[in-house]
Amino acid sequence: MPLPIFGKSHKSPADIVKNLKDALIQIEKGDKKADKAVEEVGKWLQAVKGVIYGQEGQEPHSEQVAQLAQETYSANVLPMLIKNLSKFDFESKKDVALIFNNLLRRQIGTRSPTVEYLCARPEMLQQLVKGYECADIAVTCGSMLRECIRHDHLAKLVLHHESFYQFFEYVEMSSFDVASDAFSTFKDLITKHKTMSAEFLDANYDAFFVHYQKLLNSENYVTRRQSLKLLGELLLDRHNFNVMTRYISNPDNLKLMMNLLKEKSKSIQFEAFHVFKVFVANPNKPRPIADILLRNREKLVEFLTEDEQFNDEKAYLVKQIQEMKV
Amino acid sequence: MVDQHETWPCDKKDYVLDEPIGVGATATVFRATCIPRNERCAVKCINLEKCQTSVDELSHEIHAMSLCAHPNVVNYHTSFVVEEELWVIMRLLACGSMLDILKRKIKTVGKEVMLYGVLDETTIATILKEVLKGLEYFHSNGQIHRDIKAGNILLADDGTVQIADFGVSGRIAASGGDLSRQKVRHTFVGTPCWMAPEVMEQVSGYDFKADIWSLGILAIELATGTAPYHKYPPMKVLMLTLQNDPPNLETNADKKDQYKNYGKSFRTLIKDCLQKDPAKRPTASELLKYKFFSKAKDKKFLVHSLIENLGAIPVSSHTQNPHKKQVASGKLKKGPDGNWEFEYDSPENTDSSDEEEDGAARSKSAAAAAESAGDGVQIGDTINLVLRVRNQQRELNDIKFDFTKGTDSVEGIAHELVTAELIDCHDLVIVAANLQKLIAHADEKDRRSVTFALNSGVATNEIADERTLTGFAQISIID
Repeated sequence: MPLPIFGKSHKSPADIVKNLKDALIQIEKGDKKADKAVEEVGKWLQAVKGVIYGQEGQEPHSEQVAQLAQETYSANVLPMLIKNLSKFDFESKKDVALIFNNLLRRQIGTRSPTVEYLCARPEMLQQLVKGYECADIAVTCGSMLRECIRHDHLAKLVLHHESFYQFFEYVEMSSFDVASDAFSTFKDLITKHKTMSAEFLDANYDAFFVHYQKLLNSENYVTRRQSLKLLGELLLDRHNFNVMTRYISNPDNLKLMMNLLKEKSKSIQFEAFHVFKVFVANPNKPRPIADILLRNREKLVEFLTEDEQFNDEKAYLVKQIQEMKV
Repeated sequence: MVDQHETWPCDKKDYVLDEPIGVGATATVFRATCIPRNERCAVKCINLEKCQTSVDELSHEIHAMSLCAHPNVVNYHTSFVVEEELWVIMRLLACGSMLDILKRKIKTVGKEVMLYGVLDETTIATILKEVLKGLEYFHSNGQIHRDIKAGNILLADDGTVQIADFGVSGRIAASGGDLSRQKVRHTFVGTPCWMAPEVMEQVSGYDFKADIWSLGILAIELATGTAPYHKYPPMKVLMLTLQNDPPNLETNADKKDQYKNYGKSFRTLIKDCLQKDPAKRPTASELLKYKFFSKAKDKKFLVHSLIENLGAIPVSSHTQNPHKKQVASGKLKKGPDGNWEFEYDSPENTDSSDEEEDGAARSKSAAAAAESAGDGVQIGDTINLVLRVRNQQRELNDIKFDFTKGTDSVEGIAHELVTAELIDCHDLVIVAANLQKLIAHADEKDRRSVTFALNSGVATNEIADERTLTGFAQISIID
């Protein structure tokens, strides 16, 4: 038992975790003592932070932190923290995310104990995803979820679960900070681990793009603009070659891009152009695609030369369209 | 009665926007009311098309704001998309930023008197203490503000001091709130006058101590009215900050002991904050224990000193003019020898009670004083006008404003149009001249509008054309 050398009485990691758990049990009982328990949780979360980040400018003690982590796993405190997150006060919610993310980064040799802990309890990940439906914990859950997604095992669990398709609603929520948080988590899920997400998109092409089409046609300007930008990144990523080939052989997708090219918003035109160019630059364009381009050849050439954005790319495309054989 | 437990709605129809309190190229801040909560608030409308900051950056900074709940950090309520705009709902801080207050004070009391210091030590201590409590919270949250300056310190009508929304405000305020002139011409958003050396060098990265440096600059700004190297373009500021010793009160001074009436404890605070080595700078918590802050008072004091009696001049023992104590009433008048003199109030309507009350009595009487001077429009008459001119994106805009004889001055309005980026700074004089001409003939029925060529000329691919107001502007009186 290390001597309390820090002046103020310093509880051992085991005591801290035990007190935290007792307070959580109190909250779950939900009786009149619950409010007091919320304060207790706040206090003990501060103590946990004290161990992890060190007191008042001193360095944390690595064996104390290791002990704390071990106690946290064995006492199964993490699931309780996530389950009761919405009952905590404003600062405690942030502390939970801080502690959770810190534990996720802990490595012992090549092993990440917290990642293994979560792999064994996938329902915790689903709870974090569901967190987006409750405004006052949405952003906290988002931050923990994105930390999880940095690890491919956990990202796979979230991606391959049917709740993944909920993101298509979460990114359209009315409150901008929740919707944009959901969008950045959604983006991490399908771009962080290239091969894994390419396989996912390939295997679930129809389901994914039926939902994705709605984002591209959303009334919300930010959703349209962001999903269009993300589509460009997806199609131009070499890992997604099959997905790209399939996408640019569908005439409906080309029509959608040409409509978006005509939008009054400069930014949306800009993003649409970067998708549209993939259709035109495709050396072996399927018949239906070539027909549409030929039918609109003059309009497209005129449109592309009139606006002076990204000229060199345009010059190339204009030449492509003009030289298309009937 | 405010309906507290009602959450802040995310729908445009639940808000009534009143008049704008901050105008910029890409964002406008409106005073507004939230109908379901029956509560006043500020709505910042950011045009996502014009605003170069990417949506990701905006959401990152709004996310950071939503993590703060502290009396000295601006209270963020919610945000939502309305067509191509992002509406950010925040607490209403009606008295504007400390930069606006510094400018208003200098304008009201007059430059000469302000040479010896704009705000007194007690006011500065009170403001800086509140800012430090906000910064302490920030840093404990693991966040760095990166843009501490008078333009980002806002004041509510109850005297609450809050650090404005950071990042977003940093970039937006540079175009929305803080309208310092240097920014008008440079792509370098905002001037680096408040930037710590390690941030400028971008070598070893920087931490929260960069905010402590900026606080030191803010302290100088509140005392002298401007940041130390404010006169220089950004590149020169970078060089001066990196090469010279850290600035202090005297860096801005033109005359010897110009800032004599600022004491040792204030100077120690500035010296400790403005150390080149970030590690040596104290933390916000340590600063709060400094002797200087024993002078700090509560926010009611700020209501008194910054809101009600902005006109009162700070206690300075050696005001230059030898004869009786006088205060400028802010009305400019040409003296017999042709240079500008302030029209001082006649001494009899100032009572001789102690200094503070003196200031209060005088500024109330100054506001009440009605001076009758005929030329066409009577004093106090207000005419509504509209200036039609193309903005930086060459779109034609109607800028409505009103002119009240006696209180508004033509140059004042022209200046505000420039600082609000509504007209190019080269057109300050030509707009003022034509406004002057129009007002002088306001009562003649046939002369209701004037069209004139602009000095700022036309964009590269345009030719001047009076009909389409390309290279021209038009001011008209609207009844």
